[in-house]
Parts: sequence; structure tokens; C-alpha cells
Amino acid sequence: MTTRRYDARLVIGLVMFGFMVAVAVFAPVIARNDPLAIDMGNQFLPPSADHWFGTARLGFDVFSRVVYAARHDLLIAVSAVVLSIAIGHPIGLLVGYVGGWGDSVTMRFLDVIQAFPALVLAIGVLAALGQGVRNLILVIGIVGVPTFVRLVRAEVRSLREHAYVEAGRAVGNSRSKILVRYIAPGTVGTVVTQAAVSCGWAILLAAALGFIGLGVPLPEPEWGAMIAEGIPEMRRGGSWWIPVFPGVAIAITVFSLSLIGESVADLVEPTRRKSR
Amino acid sequence: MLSYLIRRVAALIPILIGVTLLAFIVSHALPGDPARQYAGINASDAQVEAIRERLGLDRSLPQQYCIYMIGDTCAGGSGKGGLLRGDLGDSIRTGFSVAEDVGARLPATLELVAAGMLFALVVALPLGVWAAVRKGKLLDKFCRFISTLGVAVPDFWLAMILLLVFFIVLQWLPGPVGRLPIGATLPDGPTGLYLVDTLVAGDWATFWSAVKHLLLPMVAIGFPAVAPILRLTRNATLSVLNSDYIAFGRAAGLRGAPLYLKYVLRNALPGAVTMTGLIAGYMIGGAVLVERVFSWPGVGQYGYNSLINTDYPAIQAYVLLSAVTYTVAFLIVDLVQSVIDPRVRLK
Repeated sequence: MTTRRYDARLVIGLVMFGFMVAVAVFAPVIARNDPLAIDMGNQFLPPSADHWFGTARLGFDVFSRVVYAARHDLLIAVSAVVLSIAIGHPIGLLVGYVGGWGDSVTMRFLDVIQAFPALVLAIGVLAALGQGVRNLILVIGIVGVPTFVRLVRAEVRSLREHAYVEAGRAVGNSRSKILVRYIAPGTVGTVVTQAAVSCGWAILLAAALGFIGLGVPLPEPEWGAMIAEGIPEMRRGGSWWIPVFPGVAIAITVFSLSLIGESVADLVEPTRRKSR
Repeated sequence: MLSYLIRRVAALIPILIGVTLLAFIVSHALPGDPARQYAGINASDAQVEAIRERLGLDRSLPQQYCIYMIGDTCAGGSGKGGLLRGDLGDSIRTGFSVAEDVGARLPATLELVAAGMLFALVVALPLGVWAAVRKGKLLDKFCRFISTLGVAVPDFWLAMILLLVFFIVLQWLPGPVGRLPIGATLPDGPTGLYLVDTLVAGDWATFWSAVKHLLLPMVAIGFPAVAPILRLTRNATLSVLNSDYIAFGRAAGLRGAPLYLKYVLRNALPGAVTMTGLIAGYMIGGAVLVERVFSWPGVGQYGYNSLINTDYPAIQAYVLLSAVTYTVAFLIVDLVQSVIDPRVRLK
């Protein structure tokens, strides 16, 4: 095994993801037009110096829309993952440490939730709650909770058998202090790894929901919805630029997050590196 | 083994009951009034109420759930219908029994998912073994890149790119019109799987047309599955390659394809098959996006259309089908693994 100071994948992943975050933050500076500006005289133009990614129906500038959509998609994904962790991490700690019937009930409940394919569950719940950014975050966040509960619970169950935890118990720490001070810090690594992976997954789910028409309401720009809008236009007039570029943005973002997730997993869990 | 099987199936029952309950709650929480939708725009309030009563939607929710599950015994009837008797109810939108509706669309999805998984296996298995053999070399790195990229690309976007390249630009393959050209006579066969039915009937022209319509959706469904299968196969192959019996095989003079095919791949295979089973279970309900891009008349589209029309029995059936195939895929995978590795049964 080579000992390198840092992992090239981590650097590339961070740079790419940092780039997408910068695009989202500085969208008003980067975008060359208002993403909602209608320009009927310039519909369906191919990419050019004036419109880098071409124009769509109503003369929307595709480049500006892809840039502004980064705001929606990243905000939804990051908030959803924060929500998943905020709910899933404490529950995982608690049921993993305490065990007993609370643990059994929680796990059976998670079994039921996870019996549904995530997309099907998200479509159903979102249709019931109604469209909108807040509901998207809520639904994607809740669908992501079981992953974190299971992950943290498994980690806690192995950590609580460690000698240092027993030592902590032996010197008279309370159960809650053992959990918070001795066990919880040990779970952070896996949660961070999963957070990167989940974030990529959340972007894909948000885009899928947008694609199906349950995401951010039109005409607000969102990558998945832009692809859905673009496909009929592409078939009618061959304007491939409308659906292609939003997908590239999704792929870059999710790709960078998987790179980060993989390299952090290797950092946290050095035994994984051997199989590389 | 039998006791393990019984334990596992018994553990499924509460999960499946929970699933029906959740499916019921979600569908009844949908905005929109199925009775009014069914009655039409010009119906009077009295007509809507009559329909509501006929559909049983005027009853309390617990009572509706009870009727859905165990039939009209709950409402003092003679004991007809209900999920436990295998009756999924009638669709409010189409008027047909939901079981009939879903049954008519299931073969389309099955054909699509089966083809997609086959594609994924054919690509991922050899590549995974090869990448492990050439560990750390360019090919291995390329495979890592492909598998990381594979999870990053949305399947519906890939579907669109495939259409763009092979239909719009190259014009090699048909457009997104479903399983056969519009207006084509549908093959009439026992399975509903067009490839099988046309083959049995010896109808080569239709067979070929069905293949051409299936190719692009197959790749779109299968590509995201390549990454996990490839990764799993590679890692399993690596551990097999380091094992004593491969060292022995090498010492005994085995080299090249016979060694890899007969000894390495066979031992790396169970993991890959497991993963494929899980993804296939997920895809029965989760193929809705690719189905939409290709106008594929599968259960995903049916579920989505039911959702938009607040068609309770149909939504419940779709959600239930998705959950059941997913759960049963898990069960089968567990059982297969317990046969391969008996230690699993003890957990």
C-alpha cells in the first residue's frame, strides 16, 4: 500500500463540487441573462456566443437556467441530507445503545419504509403533500432517514463493546454521558461518508421528481424538469441543447460527490484501501 | 433450512401489512376527489354523492381500510372481495379490475427489466473479472471511472441521450413509441413478453421490430446497474484470486480462460447475481422514468397515471406491487445466500 498524503480523488471531487457550489452561490454574476426572461424572437436557438447553451421555448437562456437551477438542486439536496442526519443520527444512537423493544419497533418500522423503492415512496408522498421546495426537502429528507439510522445503529453496537467504552463505564460515567462523549464521536466518520453519498443520491432523486413533474414548480429552473421539458422539443426540432446540458450538470455534481464519498470512506476506514 | 425459510417468511408478514397500511394512507392523503373525477365536470352534487357511496368512499377511513383488506365482511356483507382474498378492487379510472389492468402491463415492465439486467450482467461480469486480473492497470482505473460515473448519470437523462444519438442523429433505431410501431398488430401470446411470444409463433418480422424497440430502453435501465455489479464482481474476483485454491490451480498448470471462467468467475458470481436480483426487484416499480421517456406501456406508467387521477385502488396496487417485488427480491437473495453460505442462517 502506498502512503500518500492525500487522495487525488478527494481533491478532484472537492474541486468539482466546490465549483458547482460556487456556480450556485454566484449565479447572478455568472448567468448572463435572467433565467425567467422571455424573448419570443429568440426561441430554440442553438448554442452560440450570445447563448452558450442555446435557448429554449419562450426564448429562455439555457445557460442561465442551468446556472440558477444549481441553487435549487443543491439547496434541496443539502437540506434534505441535513434533515436526514438530524432525524436519523440521534435515533440510530439511541436505539443502537439502548436496544430492547424500542429498537425492535424502530427497526420493523424502517423495514416497512424501506420495503418501498425510494422513488415510488417519494412520488406518492410528494403527490399527497403537493409541489414546492419545502415539501421536496421534507420528502427526500425523510426517505433518506432509514439509511442513517441503520448505519449509526450498527456502528454504536460495535463501539459499545470496545474496551475504552467499558473503561468509561468503570470509572462511573452515566449512560447518557457514555453515549454522548464516548460513542457518538466514533460515529461521525461513517455519517460524513454517507452524507456525501446521500447528497448525490438526493440530487438524483430531486431531479427524478422534477422530471416527472412533481419537483420545483415551473417556470423556476430545475435540472430534472428542464430535461423533461427538453425531450419533446428535441424530438420536434432537434434542439438537443435543451435537455443535454442540465443532465451534464447533474452528472458533474453527483460524480464529484461520489468521488468525495469514496475517498473519505477510505480515510475513515483504512482497511478498505487494501482492496483497491 | 426449512426453519430459516419459515422464520424469514413469517418476518415478512408484519412488513407487508405495514406496507398495505402505508400505501392506503398515502393514496387517501392525495389531493383531489376520485368521486367527483369519476362523475365528470357536469355531475350534480347528488350524483357525486351517489358515486361516492357506491365506491364506498363515504365510509370512515378505518372501515375503508378494513374493506380493502378483508372485503365486505367489514360492512356486514356476504364476504366478497378484499386483498386477502386476492381481490385488488376495481380501478376508478378505467373501470376494469386492477389485477387485470396491472396484469396487462406487467409483461412490458418484466421484459424491459429482464433485458436491462441481462445487459448489465453481460457488460459488468467480464469487465469486473478483467479489472481484477489487471488490478491497478489502466483497464482497472477505467472501470472504476465508469462505475463512479454510472451512478452519477440519471437513467432518464441517459435514455434521452440514447434517443438523441440512435434515433434522431443516426436514425438506426425506432423512436420512443413503446414496444412496437404505432398501429402494429400486437402479438397474441400466452406470456405477454413480445420477444418470447413472437419467437414461439415464428413471427420473425415482429420479433425483430420488438428487439429494435427494446434496445434503447434496455440500455437505459441496465446501465445504472452496471456500476454496482462491476464493483462487486471485481472485489469478489480479487479475493478469489488471492485464495489458496487458485494458487493451487496455477501450480497445477491451469492458465488463461479455463482458470478464469471455471474457477474464478464461478466463485465471484453469487455476489453479482445477488446484486442483480435486488436491482431487478427495485426496478419493477422504479422503471417509471425510463418508461415515460420511451412511452413504454408498463406498470410504472400505470402507477403514475393512477396517481394523477387519484385512483385509489390502482395506486395502492402499484405501490404494493413495487414493495412486494422489492421485498421478495430481498427474501430470495437471502435464501440463495443461505444456501451458498450456511452461516447466514444463524444470524
